[in-house]
Amino acid sequence: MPNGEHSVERSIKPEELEGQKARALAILLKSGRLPFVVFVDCLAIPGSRYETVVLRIHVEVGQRPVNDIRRVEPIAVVFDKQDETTPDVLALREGFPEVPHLNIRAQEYPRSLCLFDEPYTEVRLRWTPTQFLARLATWLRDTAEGTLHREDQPLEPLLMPDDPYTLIIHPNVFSKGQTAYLTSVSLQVIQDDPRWHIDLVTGEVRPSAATHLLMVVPVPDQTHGVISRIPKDLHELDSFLANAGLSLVAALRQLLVQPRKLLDTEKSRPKELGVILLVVFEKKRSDNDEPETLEFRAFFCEDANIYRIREEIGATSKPEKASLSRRPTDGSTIKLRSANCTFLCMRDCLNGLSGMQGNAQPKLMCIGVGALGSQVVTNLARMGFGEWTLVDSDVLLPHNIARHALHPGDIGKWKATSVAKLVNGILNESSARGIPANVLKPDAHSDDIAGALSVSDTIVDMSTSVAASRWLAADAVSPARRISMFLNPSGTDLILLAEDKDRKVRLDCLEMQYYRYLISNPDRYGSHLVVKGGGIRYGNSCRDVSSRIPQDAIAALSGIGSRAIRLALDGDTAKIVVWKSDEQWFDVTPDEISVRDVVRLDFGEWTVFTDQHVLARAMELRAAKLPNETGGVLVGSFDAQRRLLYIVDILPAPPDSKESRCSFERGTVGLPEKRQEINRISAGWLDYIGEWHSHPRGHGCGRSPDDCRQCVWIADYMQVEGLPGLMLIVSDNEYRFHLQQAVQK
Amino acid sequence: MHTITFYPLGNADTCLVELEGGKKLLFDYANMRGGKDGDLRSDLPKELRSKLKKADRDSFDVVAFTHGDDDHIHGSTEFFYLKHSKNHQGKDRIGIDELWVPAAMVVDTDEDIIEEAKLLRNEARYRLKEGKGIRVFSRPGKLEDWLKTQGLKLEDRKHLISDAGTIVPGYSKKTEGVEFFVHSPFAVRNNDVLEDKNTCSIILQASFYVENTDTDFFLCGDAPYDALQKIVETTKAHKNESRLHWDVFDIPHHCSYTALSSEKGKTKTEPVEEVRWLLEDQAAKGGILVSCSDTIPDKDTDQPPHKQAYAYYDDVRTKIDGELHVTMQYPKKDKPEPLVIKIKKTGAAVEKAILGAAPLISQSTPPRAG
Repeated sequence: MPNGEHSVERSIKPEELEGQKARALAILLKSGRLPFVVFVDCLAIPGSRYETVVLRIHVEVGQRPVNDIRRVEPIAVVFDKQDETTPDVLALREGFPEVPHLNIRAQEYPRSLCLFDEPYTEVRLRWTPTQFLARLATWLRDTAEGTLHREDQPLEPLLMPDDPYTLIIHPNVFSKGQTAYLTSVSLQVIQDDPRWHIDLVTGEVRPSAATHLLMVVPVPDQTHGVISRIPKDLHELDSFLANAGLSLVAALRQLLVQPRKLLDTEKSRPKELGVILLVVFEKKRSDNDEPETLEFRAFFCEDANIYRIREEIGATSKPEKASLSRRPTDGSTIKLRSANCTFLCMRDCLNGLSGMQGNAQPKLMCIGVGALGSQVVTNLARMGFGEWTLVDSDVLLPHNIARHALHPGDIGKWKATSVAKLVNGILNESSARGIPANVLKPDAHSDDIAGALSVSDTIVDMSTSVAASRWLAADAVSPARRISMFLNPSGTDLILLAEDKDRKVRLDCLEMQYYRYLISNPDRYGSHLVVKGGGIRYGNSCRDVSSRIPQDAIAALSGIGSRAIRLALDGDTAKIVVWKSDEQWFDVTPDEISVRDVVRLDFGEWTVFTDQHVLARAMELRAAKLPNETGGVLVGSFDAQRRLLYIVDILPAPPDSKESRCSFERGTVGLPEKRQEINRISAGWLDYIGEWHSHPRGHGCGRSPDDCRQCVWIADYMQVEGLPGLMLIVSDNEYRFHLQQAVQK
Repeated sequence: MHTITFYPLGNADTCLVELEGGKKLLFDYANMRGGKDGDLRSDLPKELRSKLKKADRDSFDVVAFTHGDDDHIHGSTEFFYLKHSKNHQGKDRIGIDELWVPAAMVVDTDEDIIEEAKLLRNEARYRLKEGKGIRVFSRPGKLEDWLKTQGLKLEDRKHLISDAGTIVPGYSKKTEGVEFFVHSPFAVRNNDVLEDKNTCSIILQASFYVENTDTDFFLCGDAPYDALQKIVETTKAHKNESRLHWDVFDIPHHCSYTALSSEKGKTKTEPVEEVRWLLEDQAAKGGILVSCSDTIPDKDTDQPPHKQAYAYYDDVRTKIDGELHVTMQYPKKDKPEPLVIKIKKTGAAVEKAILGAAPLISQSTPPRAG
């Protein structure tokens, strides 16, 4: 601000203004090109850094304005010639009202309008004289209407601290209806920045560990609106609060007399303790509203311990002593240093910041916290989502840093417990737990794993291990719904398999339907499971991402993955989704695959799983060839360990097949190539698993003598794999699987 | 928010009322703009079409012709879809859901009126016969004879007639956010002598309602002082003074002295007492006066606007700490723009938007490039 007490301001021409913005504004005003604004004068003070443009503006104002803004308002705009600080916009009319969005100034008049809520460094980039005047016009118009502060804008602060301090506090320091209290706390000072961040350790501490005494003083029922200057000493604070209907000195007297225990347990210590006043305003939007937010303002009492404050305000435990001590003053000798308050971000806060409802949290057990798992879990934790049990038997190795949520400082430690610690740090909780074990061989952790399985709502497998996923589907004892998520080997695509809530379609069957989708869309998914640089990885390693995958891909897909888990848990149905990316710009498109109902058939030693797709397809192919018979090959998979057969797809008759009214003889043309392609696309998981054929109208699904002979023929071939011969026969609205063990020769 | 828009059309009237709920009511239509360069008057059809297009509509809820003079109807029969005439039913014509006219515009005979007014009269007659899409402002009895000639009973058309001293049906503060109180035409027509049509023009007080506050708009047409005098007397006699309160006042007859007094005065027209009372005592503090007229001349002129009348209105403005605007001078003489009045709970405020280059240039056609 120009201090012109002894200098003489001089009226100058617009062209004489030094600052480019001031000049542009004055010249534009003087040109008369804009409506509703009138040029008045330009002022310069010799030797000053500031120069001023004075104007009159015609305001859009009705007959019954909420605030007394007039039809014509004289305005001075004070520019910093160096354009480092925001132009100060002063309302020159005497009696310009005290309204929201004024700048706090040492003098009340002329009032300084706060036009922009962005820092000037940002505003400056787009500042033009017209935009500036337009903003001034809307500020005045909206202030007249009382709508400058929008309904959806947060409430204005009551006090605006100007000291660069921030106090971080635990949200439980104040709860609704709380009365004033005193507690001992320990402060950790972090001075990384010229701004001092001062960390207040959670909750009350033992007096011996205390560094400060914290006095919490609630001030109920404050209607927001006008921002006041921050009090600089105890007297100013007392006066400010007196206006708010609270006697601070009285409150302090009461606090400082009563909790003698706190002060006297270690007699030598309290003198060393600093004192912090934490004033909590319960703020309302208007006089008639309920309080909607809290404003926390902290005041550090500089160079004053509890005894001095007691003396100053005349609070002492022994009234007779009061007369001996110095006469109480008004508190103006206790200087205050103000601080902004901010809170440890708890789960509610994380939910809020993520735009999520903080509903009941699902109990999630996560198998595998590698590249994908660690990032998905921490993504969800940052949103305040889930209570986690993390299972992983690996330790963090140096190469993991390329794609892991953990810090290099964790190298050598269990991933499970380290990620749990990270999650607890994020949530400010201790709800997450790590179990450093392999679910397939839990050894000493069997009980831990069993316990976690039994209490979890959902088990998320991100282990990259098909074996773990199959174990979860078939063996793990838990009522929980299972979800499996993994990347394809080249790390371009993400796959989600989610069971329905009632587990009607299990993870292994979802996996089979996913493979079927791949082979049915060879153009799009022909190389989905192929490892870059040729070759196919068989078995478990097809989900292993220790190949060359960049972290940006994992980050993108783990973001999608965490969203996918949330959405899957929102619904009750089973889901299969593949997110496929293009490798250059990483455009990701989801393909949601419709999940078909599963059919389970028990054949003693073997169990057969198939689904409605297979059966419907067989019926369809039969119908197309009636009255003749037709048939072909069954495509599927097996679990040798658990004696499971999965019939996943059905191939139509090769062109050289012989189809007649009473027989079918499958040909071979194109079949080897087709079989090879299926095997390649599914990374070896799908292959020939049996034969099928149809019976004509009016015939059942029983085996004819020919059929029996064929069964034996199939079984004979399959025996070398340790598998039975499998035949599907379909007739009118009926199907039957026939299982044939090889005849011992 | 409701809005009232006055268009700069020289000495002519068109005023569009847009209600918060979406209804659009047009009071008079006078497309005065010639084809010449430098004509500063609004391209009215273009303005109105673009309003309707934004709302995805092709008709106005109401088109009111306060009376049948050229400066209130000019070009209307080229713009609106007329139900009674096949020649006036082009595809891109704008519909009139409800036509409001004074009784004169039903009963006047050919020799009394201009060609365009005949078409509008025939349209009004057609609609009245049909019994829909019409409201006639009149003492009902006055239409009885004409209805008889058409073989219609007054009883069957009464619901389409609004008399002075009543509220126009179909609009209420509660649902539409506005009510219209009818001041004129009132029944002084002499059967033999056709009085000046202006005395028979529609005069209304529109009372807008936003969040429990009323904002009043007095719409005068071309009322001469003696008509206003009568209205003031009658309204006072009925103790209906609040029906003459105004926040926005549509200055009658392009700022002619005849709306104030029979005497023009040398530098300033002194209004008759009733008109003074209406303008000064019934005004809200901060009220807005709008003159739909050419720019105010420096010299004495025969035709309105009269600088003497303007001088008086300017006194009113000062007295009520309000605003006085002339459509052809707003916001600036060299580039008049439609004058928009926004009606919110804080009252009526003339829109004063300071626009940057980009929004302005994107609304304008640049000169031809070579």
